[in-house]
Amino acid sequence: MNEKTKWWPTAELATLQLRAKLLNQIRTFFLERDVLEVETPIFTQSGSTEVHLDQFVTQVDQSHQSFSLNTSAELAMKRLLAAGYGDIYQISKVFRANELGSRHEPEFSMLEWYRVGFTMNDLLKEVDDLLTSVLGKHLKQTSEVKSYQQTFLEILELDPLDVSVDELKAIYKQQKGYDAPELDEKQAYLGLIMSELIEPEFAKDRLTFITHYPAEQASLARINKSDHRVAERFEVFAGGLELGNGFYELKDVEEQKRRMCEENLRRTQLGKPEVKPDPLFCAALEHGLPDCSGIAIGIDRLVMLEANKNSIQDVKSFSTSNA
Amino acid sequence: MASYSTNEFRGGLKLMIDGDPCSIIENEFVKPGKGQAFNRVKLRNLKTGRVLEKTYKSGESVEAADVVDQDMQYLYNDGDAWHFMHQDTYEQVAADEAAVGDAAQWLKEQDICVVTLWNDNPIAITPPNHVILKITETDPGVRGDTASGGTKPATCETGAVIKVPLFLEEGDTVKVDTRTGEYLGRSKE
Repeated sequence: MNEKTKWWPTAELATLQLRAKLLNQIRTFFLERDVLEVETPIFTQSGSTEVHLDQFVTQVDQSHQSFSLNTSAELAMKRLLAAGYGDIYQISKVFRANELGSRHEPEFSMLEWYRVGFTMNDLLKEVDDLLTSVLGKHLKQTSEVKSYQQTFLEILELDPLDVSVDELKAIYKQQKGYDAPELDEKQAYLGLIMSELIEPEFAKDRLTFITHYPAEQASLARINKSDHRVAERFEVFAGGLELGNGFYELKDVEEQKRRMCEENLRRTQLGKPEVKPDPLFCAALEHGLPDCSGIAIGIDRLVMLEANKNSIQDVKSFSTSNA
Repeated sequence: MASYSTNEFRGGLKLMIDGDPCSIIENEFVKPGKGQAFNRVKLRNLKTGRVLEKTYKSGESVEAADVVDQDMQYLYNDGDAWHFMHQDTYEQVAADEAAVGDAAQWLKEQDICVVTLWNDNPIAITPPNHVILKITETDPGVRGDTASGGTKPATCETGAVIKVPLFLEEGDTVKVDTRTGEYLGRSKE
């Protein structure tokens, strides 16, 4: 891209037309189901403690209080839920530092929604309905739903809930022909193997839902009642492209605080800045979150599928290179 | 020692991998929504030409390889080595057979080649994309046959054997694409 043409949009007009249509379809979908569209602040006093998310931090005035740009709208939306505002969805920009590649932009659009009284399976069904209706023509088969454990067993004959780091490294080397990078912990190796050896095996013209992630990867999801080794968390993929993460949301405030502290400990060990647990979010949980499930889905990736583009830059009017 | 972090990775960057200088062909940032990020990298080993893949944890640093591509003039072959000269400094380097490899068949004295230097030593030679060579050996020409589309082998002054149209004769000069070995046309030079 030279200086003379740099101002030009990175997305073609036809792509932006598809994008607009897709946003309309999403809004219609939720309007018909009586889910309220909301907007929450992009700019927040506290941030996410998630270990592998880096946030942009800035200030609003001369005081030393720092604000973060949202890595997702989750915490504010859960405060609305705790306040009894019912089923809600949001389409907003979110920001993640140090993420740039053909599937990643540091600023991207996210669809996030929460359904009161929904279990993980109820939400999974609704995600399937929405995605099948907006991406229908790209999906020739019915969706596949499989547990994380079952998926590893079928593709690699490996039980992810009972495996050592050495075994994970060995299977990686055996399949790829070279060593796995040195990672910090077992869950990171599972993540690497998921991305490198499992996701490429998913059928291209089909949605794949992977349910019941290991409890260590629960994030903000509840632990399964009958099997404590797994969480009520699922991910949805179109082919090998990750679209979103859904949770049967954790309500227990003590458990939530414990996880946030653990995450901060990991952050410190990795040399990342500590993020104080959001006191407003914790207070809302203490007041009481209704039983609910929620999911966040990358909108740009839906447009990539819809417009047949291989890179996220092709579906944003302007990308980081010329923002 | 200089090194590069994965977020500086891009095509063409030169890295040391298992003791050999390599050049990045492709770099892909991979990050699961909730997981650790890594970079999937495809590289070319500059000594062997072999393509390899590696995966790095994002943020990891990798030693840089001191590799530069330098335009140099090919001077002569002394039987063991091929000698090249920097056109501004007149500095000369000698490249051995391992560095020259298949490029040898295209090297004509005085042509400007790209010499890949690792720690100032030549490790690879890239001939010009197009070279003008004299045919030193081929079957007699079929006069007037410029249209049949048939070809025959011809040996060039540098040793390369290429396919040429039937009407060409020994002593003719031809233009050849060194990347494909394809005959491009006759040359008046």
